[in-house]
Amino acid sequence: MAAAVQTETVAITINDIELHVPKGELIVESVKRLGLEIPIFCYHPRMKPVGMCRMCLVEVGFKQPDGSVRKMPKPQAGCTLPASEGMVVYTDTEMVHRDRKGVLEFLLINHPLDCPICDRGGECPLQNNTLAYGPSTSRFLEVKRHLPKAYPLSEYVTLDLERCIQCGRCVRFTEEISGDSQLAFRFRGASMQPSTFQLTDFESRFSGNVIEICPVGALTSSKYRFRARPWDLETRPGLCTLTPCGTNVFYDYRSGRLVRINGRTNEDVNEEWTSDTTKFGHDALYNNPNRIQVPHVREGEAFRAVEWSEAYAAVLGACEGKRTAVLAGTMLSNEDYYAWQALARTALATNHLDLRWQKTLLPASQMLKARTGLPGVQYGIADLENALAILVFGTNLAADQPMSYLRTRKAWFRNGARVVVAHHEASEAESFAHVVLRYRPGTAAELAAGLANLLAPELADATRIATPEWTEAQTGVPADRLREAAEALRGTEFAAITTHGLFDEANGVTAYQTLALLTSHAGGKFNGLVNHANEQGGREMGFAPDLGPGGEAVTAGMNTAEILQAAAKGEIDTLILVGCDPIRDFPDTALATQALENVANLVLVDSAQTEACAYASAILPMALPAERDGTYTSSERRVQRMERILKAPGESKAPWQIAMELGLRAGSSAPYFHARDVMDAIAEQVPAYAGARYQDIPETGVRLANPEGLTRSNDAVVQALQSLLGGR
Amino acid sequence: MSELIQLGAQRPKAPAPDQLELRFSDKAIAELDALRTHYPTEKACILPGLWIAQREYDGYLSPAAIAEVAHRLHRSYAEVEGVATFYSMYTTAHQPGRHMIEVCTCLSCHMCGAYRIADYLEAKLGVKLGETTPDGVFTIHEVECLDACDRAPVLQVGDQYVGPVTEADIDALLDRLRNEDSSAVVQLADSIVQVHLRDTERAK
Amino acid sequence: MAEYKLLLEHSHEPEFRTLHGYLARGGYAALNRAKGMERQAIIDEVKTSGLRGRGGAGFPTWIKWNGIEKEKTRPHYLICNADEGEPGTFKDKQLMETTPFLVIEGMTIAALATQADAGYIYIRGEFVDAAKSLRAAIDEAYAHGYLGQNILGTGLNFDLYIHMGAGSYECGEESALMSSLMGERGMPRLKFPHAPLPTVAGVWDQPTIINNVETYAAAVPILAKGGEWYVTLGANTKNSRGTKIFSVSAHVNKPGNYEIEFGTPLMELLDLAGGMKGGALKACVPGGSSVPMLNAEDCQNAILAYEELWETGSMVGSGGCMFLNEHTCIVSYTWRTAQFYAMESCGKCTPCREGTKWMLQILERILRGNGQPGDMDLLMEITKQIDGRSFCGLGDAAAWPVAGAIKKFPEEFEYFIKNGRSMVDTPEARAMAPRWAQRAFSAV
Repeated sequence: MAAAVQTETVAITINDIELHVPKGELIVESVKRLGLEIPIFCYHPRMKPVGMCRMCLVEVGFKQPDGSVRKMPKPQAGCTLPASEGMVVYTDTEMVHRDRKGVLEFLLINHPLDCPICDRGGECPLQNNTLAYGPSTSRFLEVKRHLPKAYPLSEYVTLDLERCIQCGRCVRFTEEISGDSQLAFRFRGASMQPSTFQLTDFESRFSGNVIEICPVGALTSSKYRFRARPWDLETRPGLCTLTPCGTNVFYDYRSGRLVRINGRTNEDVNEEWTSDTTKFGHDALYNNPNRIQVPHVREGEAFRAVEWSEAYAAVLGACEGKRTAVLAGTMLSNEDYYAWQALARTALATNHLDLRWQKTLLPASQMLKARTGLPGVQYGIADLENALAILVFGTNLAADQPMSYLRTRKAWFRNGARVVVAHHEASEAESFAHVVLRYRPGTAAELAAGLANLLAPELADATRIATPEWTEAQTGVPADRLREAAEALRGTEFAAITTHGLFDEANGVTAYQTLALLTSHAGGKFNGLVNHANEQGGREMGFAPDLGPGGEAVTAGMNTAEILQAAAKGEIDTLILVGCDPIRDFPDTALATQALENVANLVLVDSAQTEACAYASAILPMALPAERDGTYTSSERRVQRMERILKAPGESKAPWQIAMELGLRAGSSAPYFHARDVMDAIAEQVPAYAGARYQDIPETGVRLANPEGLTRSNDAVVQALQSLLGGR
Repeated sequence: MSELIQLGAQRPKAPAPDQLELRFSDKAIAELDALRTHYPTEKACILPGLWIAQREYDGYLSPAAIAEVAHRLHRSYAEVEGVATFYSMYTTAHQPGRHMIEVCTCLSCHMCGAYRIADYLEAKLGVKLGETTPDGVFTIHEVECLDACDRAPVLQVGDQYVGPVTEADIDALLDRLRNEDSSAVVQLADSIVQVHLRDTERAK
Repeated sequence: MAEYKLLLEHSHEPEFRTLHGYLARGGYAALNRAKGMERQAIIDEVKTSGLRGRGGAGFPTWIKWNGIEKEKTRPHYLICNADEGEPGTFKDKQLMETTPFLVIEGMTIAALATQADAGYIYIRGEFVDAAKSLRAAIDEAYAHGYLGQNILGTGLNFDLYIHMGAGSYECGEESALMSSLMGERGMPRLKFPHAPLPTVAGVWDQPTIINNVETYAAAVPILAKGGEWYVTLGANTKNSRGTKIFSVSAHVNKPGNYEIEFGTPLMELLDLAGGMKGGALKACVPGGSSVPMLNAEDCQNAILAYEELWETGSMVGSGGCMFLNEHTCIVSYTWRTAQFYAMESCGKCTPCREGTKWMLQILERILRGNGQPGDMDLLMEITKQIDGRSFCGLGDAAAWPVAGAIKKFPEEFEYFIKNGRSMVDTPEARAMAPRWAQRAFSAV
């Protein structure tokens, strides 16, 4: 977290023990310093305290000059009470216990007590607090409140209003954290209930979090419903491998089968939140009914299950002396990418390898670092929180980088950061934007030039033409609004965030690079993030046609599009697909299909059957990320480790292991016995990873430092910009 | 059983902004614009905005009316619905009759025979408190204290208090209202909107 | 003692609602005096007067005014709490309807003292007549330079807006009122020491003064005639100065608002209201539904003043005084009180949301003749679990009248629970009861 700040402390007394705490710290937090606990329901440390449930009532007094204590006449909510000098708190008096019992009695009178069929049973704060503090019998003779049960609020979230204790955590989450305000309290008094508008679909990218923060079983997972009892579950820490953020999660499993994903706290990455992609997306992956169990080779129209040795022989036979190319998905580990690029470049003797699936694929010479000398990622996710201003450019941040989105919103919500959102279509970030710059599709570069004109005098030669009025004419963004945006950013060391998705817009590369340059000139920090799971790691491992491990230039091979085009023309003999399916992943499905039809040998390394299987000559079963050890690099360049959680089905192996065993057979690879051996090799080849050896990676991961002593070069980008602007 | 049916049910989606059928008149839009100048935030216009909507939508804050207010004030539908359903004078449950008769049965009115007045109204109109007559003319409602206890038992009809009332007064009142074409619920909403606005801001 | 009409002196004169008529009767003398005073001197004058909030809590008004930052760095707001909702109270309604300029002038004086930029009169939605009267007065005041830019050459720029509620008792609670004014559900906000005082961070997080209608109106005679003069009213009480308007209703011959000097005996108020109607005095709720009730014996010695009435076991509250005659079934009355609070609980905190509903369910069950032996104890315990535990005062206000009624009239509850019938078995009592509870009373 941020560097230690000098904070004023105050002396308070809790249960006759005196201690010093930061002034204004909430009493509910102060008591934890003594190892005590105040029971809570509505309080959540990441949201504004509201004091609604009254479970945390404590007795409070103030020390008087004569040493006596003057007690306040009423008990006070510990979750909203800031510590002040001389405050005296009692958490263990008869009155406090009576009050807790009273609140629990109130909460239980209308609660259905259907714990036997409640998914929350066993991990329910209401159960736990009742056990510890509650009454053992009920004095309630009346009829309980009856409300809709098991209402499907969305594909993911089921709402049971009878169980709700009106703590407002879910409502506050959508107001304060996700910002979509999809949930609100309706009605009042004893009829009050949280709901979406008219119980319509709960449309949020972060809806799953409300399931975890609900202190009862009112909001449960539609997916996990009735699938297990918490005490039957085993749980292990892991990572999300579906989003580029490196979200930390727990994998909960039962009898070796993944049952659910929950958020895991990592203050540097996701705090404790997950996006719905993270929380609900892994199920289909791991519990895919079409998982591949053993290697297969084609025999005529059918496949025959074979031993690994036979499969390896078939693959090597298909590659030897042939025109070979390798394509990989974005979910592999760093070790996988490293081992496969090594195999491709040695045993398979090809530089035709890629893991990018966008339309626009930049050659190394056109990449940001090569053209401007600037690193692509200068800020971590957590750094965003303290930014005074943030420019979100050309991306739907909530969709592309969910955790960066939450931090950006937090920077605004908590610290009043000014957020400028520039995109050609509406996105969630606009809801809290200081200024919205909605440009016409395809004019991102002109808009970037217009911003540069206002913010980066050093680029004046190139952007002289791009006055606000000119920019308005080109992009449709009003000149005044552009000026307002520039004022919001000026002199703030702002964070500019964009993604590689921008490349696919017209002149997107120029826009991207202009943005990087102007940010650098205006004293900001640029963050051009990859949009797919471990795409960042794969590139750094050298899984690219023209860059080796660590970004070392190599003789350029073909990129994804070129490989597919060549294959379609029959110019590739053997195509190896590692955890990808071009028909699914490549934007041009027709080309992808044609490519697969026209390669002589298609080798599939994958976890489950895909459309590509129809064209395969050999299929090798691959273990998914949570089924093996590995490291992953997120879009903010954080290297994190995930150790094996689930057993891989059948004879599946880690991709690095498959590459290594193929390499051993071809006589080109050293034997690795564990992912850590691969990481050791990586550390030697990729300087940035020298400090990220497998066993040294701490629980929260290591964010790779930017190389020192960068020199900024304007020339290439300025030239491109001039030709673009001049052409208008 | 019912649970399974619900789980399989199709969930309705909230309307997208371009699917809204906006009904605010030019007058209403002008009023909302004037109200925006009264407060430092647009959000503060939610309450008066709902009053405008209650007038524009014939006395009923339907989901569409709530959505329109939310849309015009750049708030989420859920938030505005939460506000609308909090306050008892916003009619969000169903379309009320042309005239809403609100019977106070709270303390002083209780002491002064308000329940007999309520009984009489129910018998006379053939509907229960909270219901609307089949011809759509009257809705009768029980309300909490109207703070006109000196006139107990008291009724509210539109923006007028009537009280103390007797059964004979009710006969006369119902006869009068039946012949009035204008809607008391709309008139109440309009009166409330108008008192927010200065003479210089009110529509000519 | 008799009525002392300080605020209501001209309330029967329709011309008093116009600027012309107001000026002709000495209107704006107070503001004219205040504008020649230092801001602090205005506040000190209010301090001298001993004026306490007339909304219910009786908090010294000057402390609020004095709490606003003196060196202005940001917008200051002034709010008039005209969300009169306490059952039994209708004084603010009359003040707004008949003396709108008193309210406006009082607020303008407060604005001058606290450098407020804008004022909001938050009026409960039902009070359309009051709002119309104020609206006409505000428009007239603007037209003649009594509101708006540079009022009376003082340099004060003060805009006054009307904001209508929409049906919620809770919004009379000052922090809930601010939520409502900001466009939210009318739920209370954190209060000191959990959050800064409104004078530091009130509505829209800016320094805010919030006072009751009657409080602002009372500032006018205080500034016109001086705090020293004002303290002579109610001088024989412990700490209640000036006049207070009591709204008298229920079983009296002449219900209405009566302004009296603090220190007047409760029974004189009853005399002013024409005495009991329909039967002898049985109980009185002197300060609005939320204060504990007094029985006939308590009434004889009760003095209408903050501390004095507290010592008798009740409170001045908002001044909604209901006299109940001998035909009143206390159980039925208590049930109806409980219904009010259950309907008006905002739902924010557990004790009030669940407790008010539960009390209502129990009382209704008793009224239906299904009382159980432990019900009185249970009700008393529930009131203890609510009182002081709820987020705001509404919970306390819901608990006190139930606890108070059980304490004062235990035999009526015992009888009803034991026999399934009311102890007050008269045709009049039956006439008051809701239809479904009538079998607890004998037919004539």
